[in-house]
Amino acid sequence: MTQYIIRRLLILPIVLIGLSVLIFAMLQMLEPVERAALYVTSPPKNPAALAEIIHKYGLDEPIYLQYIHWLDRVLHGNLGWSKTAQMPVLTALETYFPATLELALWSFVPIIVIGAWLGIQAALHHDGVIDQLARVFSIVGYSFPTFVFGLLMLMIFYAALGWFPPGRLSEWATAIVISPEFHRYTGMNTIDALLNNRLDIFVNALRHLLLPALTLAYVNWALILRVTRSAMLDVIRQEYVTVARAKGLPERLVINRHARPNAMIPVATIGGLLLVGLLNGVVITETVFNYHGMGWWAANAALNFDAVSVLGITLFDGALLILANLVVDVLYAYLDPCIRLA
Amino acid sequence: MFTGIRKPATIISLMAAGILVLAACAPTATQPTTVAPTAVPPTTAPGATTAPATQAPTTAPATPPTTGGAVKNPGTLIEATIGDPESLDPAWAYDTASGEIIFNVYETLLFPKQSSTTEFVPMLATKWDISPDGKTYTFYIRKGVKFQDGQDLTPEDVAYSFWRGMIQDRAGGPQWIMLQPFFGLDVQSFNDDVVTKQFKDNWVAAVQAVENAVTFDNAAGTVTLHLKQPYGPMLQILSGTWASIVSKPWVIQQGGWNGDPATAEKYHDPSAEKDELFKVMNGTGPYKLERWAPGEEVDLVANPNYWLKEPLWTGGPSGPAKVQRVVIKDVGEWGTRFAMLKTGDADIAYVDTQYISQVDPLVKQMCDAAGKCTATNPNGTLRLYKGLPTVQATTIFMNENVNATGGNNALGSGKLDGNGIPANFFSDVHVRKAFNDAFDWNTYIQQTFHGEAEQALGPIIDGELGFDPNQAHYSFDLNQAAQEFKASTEKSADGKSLWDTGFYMQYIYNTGNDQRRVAGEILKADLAKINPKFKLSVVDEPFAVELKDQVAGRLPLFMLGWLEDYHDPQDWVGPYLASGGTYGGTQGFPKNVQVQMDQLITAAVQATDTQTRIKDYQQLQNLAYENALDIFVVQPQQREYMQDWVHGWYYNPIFSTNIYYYALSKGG
Repeated sequence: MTQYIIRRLLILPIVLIGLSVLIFAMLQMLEPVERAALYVTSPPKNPAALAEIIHKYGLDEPIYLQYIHWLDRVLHGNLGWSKTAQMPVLTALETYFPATLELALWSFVPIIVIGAWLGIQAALHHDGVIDQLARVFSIVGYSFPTFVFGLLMLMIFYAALGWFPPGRLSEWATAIVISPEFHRYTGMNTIDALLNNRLDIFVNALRHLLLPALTLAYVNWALILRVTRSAMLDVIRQEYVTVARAKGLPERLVINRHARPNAMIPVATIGGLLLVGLLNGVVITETVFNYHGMGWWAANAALNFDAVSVLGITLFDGALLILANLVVDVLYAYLDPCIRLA
Repeated sequence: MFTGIRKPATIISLMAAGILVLAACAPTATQPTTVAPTAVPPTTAPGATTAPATQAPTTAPATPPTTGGAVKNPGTLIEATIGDPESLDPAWAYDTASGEIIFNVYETLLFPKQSSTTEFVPMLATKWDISPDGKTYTFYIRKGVKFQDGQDLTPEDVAYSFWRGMIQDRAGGPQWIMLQPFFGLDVQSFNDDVVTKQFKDNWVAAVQAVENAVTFDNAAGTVTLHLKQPYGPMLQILSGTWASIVSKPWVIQQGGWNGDPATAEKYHDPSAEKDELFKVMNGTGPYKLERWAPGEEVDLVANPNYWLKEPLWTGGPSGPAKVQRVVIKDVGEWGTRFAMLKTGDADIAYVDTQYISQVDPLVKQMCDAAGKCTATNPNGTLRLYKGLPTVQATTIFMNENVNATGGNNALGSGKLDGNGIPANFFSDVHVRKAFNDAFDWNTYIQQTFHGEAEQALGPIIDGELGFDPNQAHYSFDLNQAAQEFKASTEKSADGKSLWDTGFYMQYIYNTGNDQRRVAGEILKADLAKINPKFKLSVVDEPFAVELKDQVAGRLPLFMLGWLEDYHDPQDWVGPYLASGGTYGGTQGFPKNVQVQMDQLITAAVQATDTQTRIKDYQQLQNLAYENALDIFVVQPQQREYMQDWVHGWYYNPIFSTNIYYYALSKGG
């Protein structure tokens, strides 16, 4: 297994270089003036300014030269300046990733735990009332556009009830968090609040997290529910489960010890991909809730043809995807002893 | 049946419910009384504020959630808007989002007198003299003014601020506005026009010329501006954010230019992030920068040592700012902005025209530009200011000599054959008049602005010197348009008239701008009504591509807008009508008309007598009308929505959408 992990890690730089070449190749499809849109937000009063801007930012250089310059900077630890985020790309990653990670963690755990539990319940009550209700629940969740559900949540729980505001923190809490007295350990407000022994900040951060986490959870529960239900139905019809029951094992043990672990294998696969998706940023949810994370940044960068930011985000996401797949593979081997990594 | 898996579910359910209850019961966002934002520790230089730096409050808010119309977040004003500043350097910044921060932190020599666009009150100057020939301005610099880092304002700081800006002159920046009065009306760039052309690539000599153009005398407390020619809009441009005053020692501390002509070149045209004042501020103004979290928010705190003790105009603000803290949030999603406005978490919010019907039911009071209000809905919570004239206009430009090099899709076949137009199609005045007669202003204004815009009567907009509300202008008249088309002398290759042949061309607008798309659709439909052979294709291009094509003269018919830089007709006739103008320079106007317009523009800007200027500008308006140079479409009005607990707001079109927070207060 160790060899397998090392081999997969060695692939990482090759994949990242491939990704960056692909993006630069795609950039060729855009004229320099189109990419200059990033620096031109209103008509330049001087007609020559547009050409000057294109030249100044090297947008008129051959694409291979632009790539070499970029690669040279990256090899020197400089991912460039993100015009969209108004900070170096590395700093932007440090700023936005913890926000997304926090949101992903707060939504991923309920997605998996509740989704899997509902799926198991549906399977165990196959074609019963619980199964039918779970089916309706999942169909509604799956067919609800995220932005509609998100806005609905926002209008009910913020605009009407005033319970859960958008953003990451309230004004007073922001003032505390950015102060020198508050130590930023992880960039995740809930965790940092606990580490700083500030329950008020923790609660405030949680109030801001609940709606986006709930939105993400609801639209994803359907998926986990369906996968778990289907896997569980397959498993409880297996002979070894029948044998376990025939041997007189209590039903609780049959399900928990024999059926559920095997039903979790496809859930682990889906869950891994889901987590990567969440960590790459959830554009719509982050936008609706004014939650500035990777998704919000990536969407803005793409809309503004901010090539430097897009490259940085892609490399980061690419590395994340490879590492997450590796973790899933290892987890797979752990869950199913029949699987051997080589 | 399966108790083993019910238990964790129950525990999770209880935890979830507990968290919801705990979170819901927590206090709503309220400014804690312990925040002491004025005690900001310096991080980059003594007294200079940079992001992030703040004094920490130590406790969570003690006040309960506010409901039922009580003032939310007292002491803090929150604006939910769109757009993030590009830079906090007044010499570099040229966007409205940056301008809003800059004009609340930095100050200029003079300032618009409340809502007046033509009267100025002394700010960092106490008075000024203008020589009889209009070429020398002497400003007497106010004593006792301190920058936020505690240093005194000196005449040298003022002169240095102007030198630094002109030398910096980044591509696409605002400094051309400052360069023209000192180095000539044709100057657009310090490097290209001053260093290269005027001083034969001698940077040191060019920098010395800048220093000679703006001189100072610390002992006398004066700064003198030596203009190349009399310049009518001089006071206007000195009130712009690009003319803000910075502290010379502080800029040097930040790594900026030290005043040595020999080193000036390396401070020319920096990118935003390489500019030393990109994210730090140290002005003399009523607010200090507390934090700029790019893409999220800018936080300002009141300057406790603000120098202004007596109001600059009767009833004007004075002393430290009444609103202790200002938070300008960049909230791109409308639903979120709306929710913030509804809950009172936003005191002021940007509302796009298409969403006004959602917000209007919340309006308690409706006010006009002069501040006269009427009650509309006792259950509402907002105050709406509507009918506010803006200082921008949109125009459909007609190019009389289109660049067709290498082929040009916008011209169709490139010939008058029913499937295209020749490059000089719009050189026929009858065609230009016909297009003007074919544009339906009323429908356009109703459809896209809900009636809140006025027809532009020429390049000079309403509210400017030289604007005449009775100016002759075109009106929608399809019969008249048909007559003009029939009167055209343009012929196809086989000798057929324009009317019999018809035409095809593209109308270009910038991608995503629905208002401009609708204008094209209306024009297209009406042209087809006149003659089915008149075909227009409404095509979008990314903004920068449209600009590039416009600069290259490749667009026959296109719509773009202009937001004025300074409030003077020169900033309209220059770009619209001058031979070197942003738009006029690429439209190929008739030579005789162009010569006449250039002479009038130069005479008007150099005239020291207001009446002469008015006469010249009115003549320019008439020339634009008689020659139907463009379709001058609209000058929009705007709205401003705010909670009714916000007081002191007034409208000055010069500020555009920016808010002068110093004038505001919050209270029941």
